[in-house]
Amino acid sequence: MRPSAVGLDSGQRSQCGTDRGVVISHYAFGVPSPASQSADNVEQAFAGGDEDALRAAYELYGALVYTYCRRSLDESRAKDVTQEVFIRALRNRGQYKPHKGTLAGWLIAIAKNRIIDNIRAEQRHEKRRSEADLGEVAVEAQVDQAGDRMMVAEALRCLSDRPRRVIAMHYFDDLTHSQIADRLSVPIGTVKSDLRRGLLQIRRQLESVHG
Amino acid sequence: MDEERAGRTDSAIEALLRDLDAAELELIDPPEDVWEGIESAVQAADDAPGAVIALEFRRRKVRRIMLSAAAALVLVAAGVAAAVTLTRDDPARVIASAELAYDPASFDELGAQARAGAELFAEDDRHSIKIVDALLPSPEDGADLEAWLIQPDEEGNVADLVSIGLVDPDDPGRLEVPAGYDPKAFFVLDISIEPRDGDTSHSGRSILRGPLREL
Repeated sequence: MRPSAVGLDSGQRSQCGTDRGVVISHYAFGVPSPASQSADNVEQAFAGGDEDALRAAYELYGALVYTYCRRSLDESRAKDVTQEVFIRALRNRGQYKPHKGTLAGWLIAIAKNRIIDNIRAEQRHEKRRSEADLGEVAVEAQVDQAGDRMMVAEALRCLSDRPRRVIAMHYFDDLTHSQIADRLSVPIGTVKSDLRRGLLQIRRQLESVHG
Repeated sequence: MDEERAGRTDSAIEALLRDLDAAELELIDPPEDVWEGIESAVQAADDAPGAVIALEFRRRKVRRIMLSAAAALVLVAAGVAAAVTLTRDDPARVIASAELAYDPASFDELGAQARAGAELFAEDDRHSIKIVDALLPSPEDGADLEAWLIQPDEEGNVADLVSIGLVDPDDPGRLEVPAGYDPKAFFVLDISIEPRDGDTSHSGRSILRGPLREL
């Protein structure tokens, strides 16, 4: 058994995007977190062409995009790519369809291509073409995988408190459904329902990146 | 479409969850000057409508590509036509095509004998470009052919562009249009010679170029 992941213990704040200041009450079970509602509002406003939505989107997802960039790039290039992602998102916001996926996933998809372009250009400088081609495959897989992990983490941050705790106890602490039900004093069906809801949320985030 | 990844099973998602490291849940706040850069770039675009300056151009060595006057007229006209139906989302169907041409006045002489066409495929919200009927030269050692999509401004100059990948002269294949780039706006296909010098901007050494036109 490994220690519970940071940020997933009881009484934690919702960390959807970077809206980290909203405490999820233990009694607000089943109610979408204020952070999630905020994310929905920003997605709609962004897609609708609201000029202030770029700032709101950046406040929610700037750290998500920047962190993703930092997984593969140095600080200077990560800053450049983060800027490019939001500028391109603004220019092409007509392509974003909230009903097809999350804004977070769409931004991560843009970031993924920009990161790969950036690394590829660097490789082109250092390697001959045959070697670079082999490297590109590895780079794309690596950046792709990092993006998936970012979106899984983002999905967890966006869950309300109890499903998040249930997922942490099951997948990180390796507790059974019965053990979780006992510890949280809820029916076992509720545990299964929370796990299902969590997996669906993660799937939606991943589909936002991969289409 | 990345169908395999989009439709992944619960067990694949569970494997991702179990493999997640606690540190990956922590986000790094971007430095303050990141937003300042975004804001100033957006402001610059607002101040100069039709002449959007991409951030990479401002922060790196600028190599603006000027299209010839004749090409500019073609591109503006083509833009009006191309902007109509490039959003049709029938699965993997060709929705536009291009005939690429060599401009002796401004292109690299290596392209003088080159020729190629291109087809734009649409599948849901994703697009890809297949280079067809190609007779492409091999660039010098230490350089590659690279394909770009260009967004021209109203005067036919380059407002923005994006690389869509390296092109093998013997097997150009199909190239994915990166997410976030709308072929309605980036409707000019360009193939250039790019030295492996670490500079991500366009070299200015185009060999072929042409607008995508709806079918």
